[in-house]
Amino acid sequence: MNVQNQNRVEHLDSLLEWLDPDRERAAEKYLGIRQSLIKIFTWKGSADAESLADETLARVMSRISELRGTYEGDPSLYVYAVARNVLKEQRRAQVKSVEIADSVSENQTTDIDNERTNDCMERCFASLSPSSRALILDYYSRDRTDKLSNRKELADKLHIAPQQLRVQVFRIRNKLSTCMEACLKQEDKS
Amino acid sequence: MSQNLSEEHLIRDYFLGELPENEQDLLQERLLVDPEFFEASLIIEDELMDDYALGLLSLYDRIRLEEGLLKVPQQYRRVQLTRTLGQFILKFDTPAPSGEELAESEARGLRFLIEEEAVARKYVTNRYQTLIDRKYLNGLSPSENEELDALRGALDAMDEPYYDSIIKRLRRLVEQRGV
Repeated sequence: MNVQNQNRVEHLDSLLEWLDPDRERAAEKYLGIRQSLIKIFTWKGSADAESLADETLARVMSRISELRGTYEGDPSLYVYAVARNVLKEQRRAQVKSVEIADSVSENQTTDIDNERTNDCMERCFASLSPSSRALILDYYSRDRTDKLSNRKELADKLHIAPQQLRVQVFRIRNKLSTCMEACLKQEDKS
Repeated sequence: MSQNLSEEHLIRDYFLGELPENEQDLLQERLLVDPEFFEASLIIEDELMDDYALGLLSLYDRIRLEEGLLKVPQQYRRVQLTRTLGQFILKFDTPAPSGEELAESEARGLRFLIEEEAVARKYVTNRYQTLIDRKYLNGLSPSENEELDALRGALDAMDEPYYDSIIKRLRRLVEQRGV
């Protein structure tokens, strides 16, 4: 291991200790903060949110020895303050990423893309558990214009609270989304 | 997800770019320190995308979303996912064909099969007869002899299994129509 990598590992260890003395909880917090950062950067229009999240954490890690001695309060708030600076810097370069995003339009999808997407959807849908398939079918088959009463009706049918139903649908959609990404990547390779 | 309605509105406004800068800051801070609030935000974001994909948002909200969340290509892929899912589910929604429609479709399939079979059988029979005539008049070359054997095999293959399958399908058709 070279010096740079060794420093990185030491800084990461220090950061984890700073987040929580318990290593398991610290790792969970670290991953949670990283995930939140990625979402915030994405919601703020960054096309490369993961790199910005990693850049934020790298900046925090580079000052970790100093921070551990001086900073008081929730470490997440310090991380957010750094993220805000990264975000400001990123905004200066944002015009470029907007141009890239603007160039992605619905009309650019081809028949082959659609066929691949449909194939993947069939596979991913089949990979869900029978109860998840039934729930998602029921959820999307209903008239969505009256969303609230339909959601309540379906939740009653499943003997769960409407909020629980929202969480369940969200998780199933997430599973589908992850599966679709993997499937489309696989198709790209082949 | 136990957020109250006003928090839901707050998160929704954040996604629609309706919050002033200082409130955005507070909300973003909270995303990092409150996992439950973070999950609620993910769900509301997901539902907004869903509504956008299915055309359920007002024109105003639609534009706000396009100007904000949907500026990133990865986000747009999620809209496409909902649309694909919607189309996929439509297939399940399509009512099952009635017995009459099934019988009609089966009858069309049978007619097509019989017509195809008739054309193939006519060709094989004619060619077989031509080669047999020639065999007794002038004799056949080795390759013609091979062809004659193959044609005989084809005629045998066309017989029993084919008619068995036709008879089975006709019987099913008759049962469906209640004849």
